[in-house]
Amino acid sequence: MSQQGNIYELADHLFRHESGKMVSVLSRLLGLQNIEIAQDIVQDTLLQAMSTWGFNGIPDKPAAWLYRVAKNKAIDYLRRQRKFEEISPQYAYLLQSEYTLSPTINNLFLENEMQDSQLRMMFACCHPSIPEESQVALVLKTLCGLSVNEISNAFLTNDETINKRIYRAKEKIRQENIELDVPQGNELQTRLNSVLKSLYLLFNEGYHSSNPNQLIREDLCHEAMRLCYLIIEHPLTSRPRSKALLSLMCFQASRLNARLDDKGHIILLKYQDRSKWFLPLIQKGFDYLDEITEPFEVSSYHFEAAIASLHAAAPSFEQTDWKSIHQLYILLYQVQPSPVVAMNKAIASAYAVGRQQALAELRAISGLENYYLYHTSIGEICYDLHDRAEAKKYFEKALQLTSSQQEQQLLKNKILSCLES
Amino acid sequence: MLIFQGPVHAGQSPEKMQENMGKWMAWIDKLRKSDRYLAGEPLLPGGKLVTSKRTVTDGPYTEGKEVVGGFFIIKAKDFDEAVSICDDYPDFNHGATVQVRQIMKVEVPA
Repeated sequence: MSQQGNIYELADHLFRHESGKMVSVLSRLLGLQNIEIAQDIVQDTLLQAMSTWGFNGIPDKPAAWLYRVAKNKAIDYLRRQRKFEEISPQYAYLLQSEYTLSPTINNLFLENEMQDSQLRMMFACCHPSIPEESQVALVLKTLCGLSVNEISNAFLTNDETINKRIYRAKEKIRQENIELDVPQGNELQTRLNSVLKSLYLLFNEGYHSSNPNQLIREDLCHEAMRLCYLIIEHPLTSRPRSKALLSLMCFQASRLNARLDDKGHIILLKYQDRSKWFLPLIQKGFDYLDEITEPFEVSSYHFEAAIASLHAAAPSFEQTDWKSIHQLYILLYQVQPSPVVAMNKAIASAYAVGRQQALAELRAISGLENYYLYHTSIGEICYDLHDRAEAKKYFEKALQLTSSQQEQQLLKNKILSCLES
Repeated sequence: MLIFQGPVHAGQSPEKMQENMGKWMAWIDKLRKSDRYLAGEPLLPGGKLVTSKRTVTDGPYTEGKEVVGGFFIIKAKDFDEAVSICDDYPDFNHGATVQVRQIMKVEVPA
């Protein structure tokens, strides 16, 4: 232990990330049905680290220290429990003998096995029988080490709601007897899709969240990217669509710092200071984008990443390649015909084709009556077409539909500018 | 001597634990730099209780908030200074308390 141990030597979120890793490994060892025991062991381990490191300084290899303590706690637990087949059907045989107990556990804590465990955990959390909103909550709880309170905070909801979502997920794990397996064949592909979907939702929650706390939002985006990175690192799941999703996240995340002004107000893409975009992430986005064509497959992430790359490459809003973006939205709409995609397609056509057409397209969309951005978009186009009175009507409608203070401020400013003319 | 009494941090998120640990380290660091920190140890929960009849039981089973979680031995010129050092104690908002005691120094006549 270093006597002058210093908190700043410790990686940000070390406890959070190591907790996710250890819960995954221990759940694999003890069986997913015993995930709560795994979580208790990890909690105990972190408590022990907190007191000893807090008093005596941080050890040279903090993660290794945590693994050692967690392993010993797991071994203690297994020695006390004699019913191995109930604990861990897969490892029961190896855990019964003292001779193979420690090596089995040590082996699971090796770096590549830990990655594997996290991947299995992702697959389990995104099991098709678990509802989507519960999947996201479970991913955050188990793999990202967020507490229920932190999750409810990030989602601007209450602890009870999140507790219910996690409870429902755990119920399903019990009922369906879900284990930490890697699905095979076609099942793997379907399950990978739901994992990617879940990470996409997680990222969007961070990116578009109405939570006033910038840090919470960035955390969610970074967690989604970290898990997506794990997916593309694994040969089984490193598919072009996984890379397309990560590429998309990189492009979007590069703009996180340019999206809010000093007062926390949202700055629209049009008015962002593009020099604040984080270039290394844009570069990463392009690197992954280069790898999404082979082997051939098509996913909505392919188109979304391509669209994001065109925005990232544009020197200014006006000089953006709107024609290509519009084309890509048309293709995206074919694989994902949702009203939100239709809305984005219409917005792109305002710049690629003309505002009258965009307005007609927007008005033809149904299903977004309660979505504030839909009304904002129509208002924007009316405003550009010099129909201020009509624009004001839509901005006011949008204002009623958003609870985010930043969005409300933005809309109030727009309403004021409608009155100025 | 500062004796820390309070409930274990059950149910805290990993992020909060890391944050809490950072506060402890900063506190100890500050005391060390001002040459007032002599020693300190955290204590594990649980233990044994030995009676005069040499019976040994698990314990002491005190109330959660009375459990001693650790101690510091510090240098302070008087109680006021020792008490003011506790301003940085990270666990007050978890309902924990600090007992400030003076270690007895007996002057042995030559």
